[in-house]
Amino acid sequence: MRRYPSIGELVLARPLPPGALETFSARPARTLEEYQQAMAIRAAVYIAEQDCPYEEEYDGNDFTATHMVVYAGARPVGTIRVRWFASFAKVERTSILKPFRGTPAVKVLLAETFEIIARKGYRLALAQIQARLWPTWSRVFRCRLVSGRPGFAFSGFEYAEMEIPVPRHPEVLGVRASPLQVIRPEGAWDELGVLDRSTDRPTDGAEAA
Amino acid sequence: MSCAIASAEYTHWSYFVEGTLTEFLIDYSRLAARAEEFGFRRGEFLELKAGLQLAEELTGQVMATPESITWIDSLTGMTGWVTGSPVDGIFISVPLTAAGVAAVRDGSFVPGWPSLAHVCEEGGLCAGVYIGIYAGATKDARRRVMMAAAVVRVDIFGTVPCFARGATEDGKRSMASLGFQPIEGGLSDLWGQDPLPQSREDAA
Repeated sequence: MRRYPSIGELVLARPLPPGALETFSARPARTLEEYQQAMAIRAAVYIAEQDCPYEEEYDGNDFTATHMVVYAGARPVGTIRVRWFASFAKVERTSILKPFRGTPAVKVLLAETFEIIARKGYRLALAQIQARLWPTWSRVFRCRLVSGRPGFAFSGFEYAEMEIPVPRHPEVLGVRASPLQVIRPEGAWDELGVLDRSTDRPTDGAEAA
Repeated sequence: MSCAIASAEYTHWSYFVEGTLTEFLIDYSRLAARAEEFGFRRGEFLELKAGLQLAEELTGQVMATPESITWIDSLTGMTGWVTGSPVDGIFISVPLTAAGVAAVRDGSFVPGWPSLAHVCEEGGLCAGVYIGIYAGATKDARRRVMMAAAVVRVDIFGTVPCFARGATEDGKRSMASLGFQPIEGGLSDLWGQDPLPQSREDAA
């Protein structure tokens, strides 16, 4: 059963609108096909719409990151990339296909993404936003601009740093979490995984070694 | 006895008409010590969940979620207080920034889902306090809730305005007994109290 992202939702400026999770769903890209969905959306949004050079969009960080994809039914309509650092998660490359802007797609994407960020125990996320978009992002997140830091520019845009405090998750997956739980597919830690179903098989350490 | 989080617009409060604003640094240790005198402690998630459920049962009103209160508490360091084991009393207080006080005045404050700019995060300057919920299941719990609310108001937050909402007639009576006044111009059941007069010694 799908869990409501009750912690991830808290980073949003407003709660998820009623029915949002019936229309949209989001999950980490776990297969090559889902990964390609994320890349295709970014190609449409950043390369086609914003004229971002290919090599700047695919900057060498994609295979090392977590990608979330949001779906309208079966159709992938948006994505976000998360990279993991020592004390913060960096969220970037947020993109929603044009026909789905203004819908709850982005809120569902962010709520599910931050549910995972919180579940992993992170308490802070960082985003580099186009400075001109601060009014927009400040209406999406409960967030703040990082003060005392100079602005910076790359790829033809002025950027600013935005911090998003992350609520403490009551079910953080810490180092003493169930061993079977932490080997389940990313983000599906509360559903039995393929390895759970393998636990009935007889163990034979000699053959495995 | 209970209050629910609410927002409202201020129109005629003397404190705001005069336009003065005091900000101060909260003494968290002292606050915790004073709350403990009445059996209150910062609630863990499940305790807050139980306390909020209790408040809902007592008032018949929908409360903020325990997830939201837990998070606000982690930001402010002083929001979710419970007493009893199992929990038989709850007290929710949200310290406000100057922007938060202004938001209460103009009606843009969303108590169950406040903007970060409105909440006084731990270590920040506090310009007001919002009493979100206070509820007790037993006579003794209600007495302790009332005492804790009053003492914390006077001893810790006396220099700043205090806001609350009367969700029930009992809640309104208890607020009146604490010196709160109904505030017109916003929600009908919003109450408030000016900063309390400070003694010459305190002011020095």
